[in-house]
Amino acid sequence: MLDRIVKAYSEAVFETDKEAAFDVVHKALSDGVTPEDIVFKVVIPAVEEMMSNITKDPDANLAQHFMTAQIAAEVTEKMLVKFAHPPEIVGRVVIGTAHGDLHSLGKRIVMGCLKALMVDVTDLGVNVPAERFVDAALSDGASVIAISAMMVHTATGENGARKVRQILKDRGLEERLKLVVGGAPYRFDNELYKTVGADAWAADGVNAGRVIVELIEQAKTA
Amino acid sequence: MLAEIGEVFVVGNTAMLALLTGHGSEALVDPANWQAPIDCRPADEAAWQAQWSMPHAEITLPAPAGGFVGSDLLADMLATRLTDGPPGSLLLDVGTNTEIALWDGETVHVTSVPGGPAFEGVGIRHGMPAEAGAVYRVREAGSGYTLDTVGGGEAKGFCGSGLADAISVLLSAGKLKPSGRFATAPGPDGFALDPANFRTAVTGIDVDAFQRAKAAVAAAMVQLLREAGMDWTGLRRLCVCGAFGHTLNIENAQSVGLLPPVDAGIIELHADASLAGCELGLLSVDGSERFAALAARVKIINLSRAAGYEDRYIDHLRLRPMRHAAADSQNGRTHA
Repeated sequence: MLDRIVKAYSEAVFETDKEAAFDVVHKALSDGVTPEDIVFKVVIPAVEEMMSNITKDPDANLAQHFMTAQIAAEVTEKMLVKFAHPPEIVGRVVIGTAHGDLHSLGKRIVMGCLKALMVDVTDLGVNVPAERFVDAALSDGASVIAISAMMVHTATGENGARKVRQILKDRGLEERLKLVVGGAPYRFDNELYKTVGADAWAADGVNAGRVIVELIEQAKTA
Repeated sequence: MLAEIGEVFVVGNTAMLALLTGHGSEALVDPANWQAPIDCRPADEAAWQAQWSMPHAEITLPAPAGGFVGSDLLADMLATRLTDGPPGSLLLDVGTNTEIALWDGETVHVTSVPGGPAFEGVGIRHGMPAEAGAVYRVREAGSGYTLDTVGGGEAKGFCGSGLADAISVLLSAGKLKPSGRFATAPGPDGFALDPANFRTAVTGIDVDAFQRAKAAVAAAMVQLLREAGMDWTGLRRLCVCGAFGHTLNIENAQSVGLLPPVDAGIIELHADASLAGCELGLLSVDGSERFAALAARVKIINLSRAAGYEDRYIDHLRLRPMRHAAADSQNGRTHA
């Protein structure tokens, strides 16, 4: 039965049909499938499949990325409250857009995928000062700071990722807190993330999920 | 010749005014000013006027509404007599920077969104302005399509209304799916509506750009309605200005979710409304005052700080008619 549900759900996600995806989930719940199985055996495999497809599929478009990440996040959020026991969280991340940058949609996709991957995400919103990224990461017990910047001046500016790196250095937090960046300027120059002091970057919101989970592992072993 | 000109009246969006006067661009870069008036007056008015080589001209440059919303939107409002009309009058000026105004009887709620160069043919494989050879209308004809071009000659590409028509027609024929994918992938060169003319092709990337542009506009309209405590059913006028003002097929625009599903009778197409408003400003004795009076009624909403806008944007990405549920739900998510 689960195979049939996985197939129907993946099809709905591929068609970006949120209503159909929720229909599949509700039908599965009423047939006795547990919310845990829906997340771990249906939603997460679909997210992973999407991640591998996006890198291969020349026809995948941005509108579909937004919609599929949104479906994954919404289904996961609704199932989490139904879990018999609180789910095991892979790790914690704070995310926001760089100081001076109000472009929030890239961050949005990343958050959708992270939630579906059982990563706890704190959204600091847009136009976030460097100090706030670090302070929030410490108070939340996060191991990764994720900064989205869609303009060259916010990606490379003194008050964005560079300043976060400086604070991490000054306060001796570089082992504990990893820094990841994303956004259009990093796609144009694939080495730019190093220039601004980040540990990693990802080309699109969906792959950012994978990169961040890897960084969480690194921070754990550090 | 220039010496004979007695009066000049200038309207435009804030970025253009800042470029024209050399003043205001720094203020515009800082998000803190995006809901505030931007001073675009030249620093040295006399020196700036001297550059026009019109020694006898009085050059009037009414202040932009605020943030990125320029005096062009005020001109639209003047030309369409927006604030003289009933509460529930919505004005949409579609362009690279799409500006939207909603009159609720007391306040004009205003916002701007990156409506997307898509509507002006930029970033579209065979996109072009509404110039000679631009496909401005597409209709199904038997197993093929009839393409109407500006000037009637051979198709050289699509302008905004032609692209909206093409996507609507492909959707209703089942060649495009609501997700924005083609039912059968046409390959990187896209699907040619006229197989003999590659410039009539629509690519997957074009559809994506269109989806994102129309979702931004649709979600912004819903957001403004919510700000005013209204929904579609309260609309009495919908004035469409800008790039679509000439030739938009309303039914097709509704089928893909670019325009709300209101009675077509309340939708007015206004070509060149901001130019008409600028002319009114120039020709009336109190042009500046009329612009200032409109600006005083404007309340600017910065969507990047509006709760629920992102959810609404994503909800409007699919190619389908806008639904009331999207306008009504509490946080913009349609709960299943």
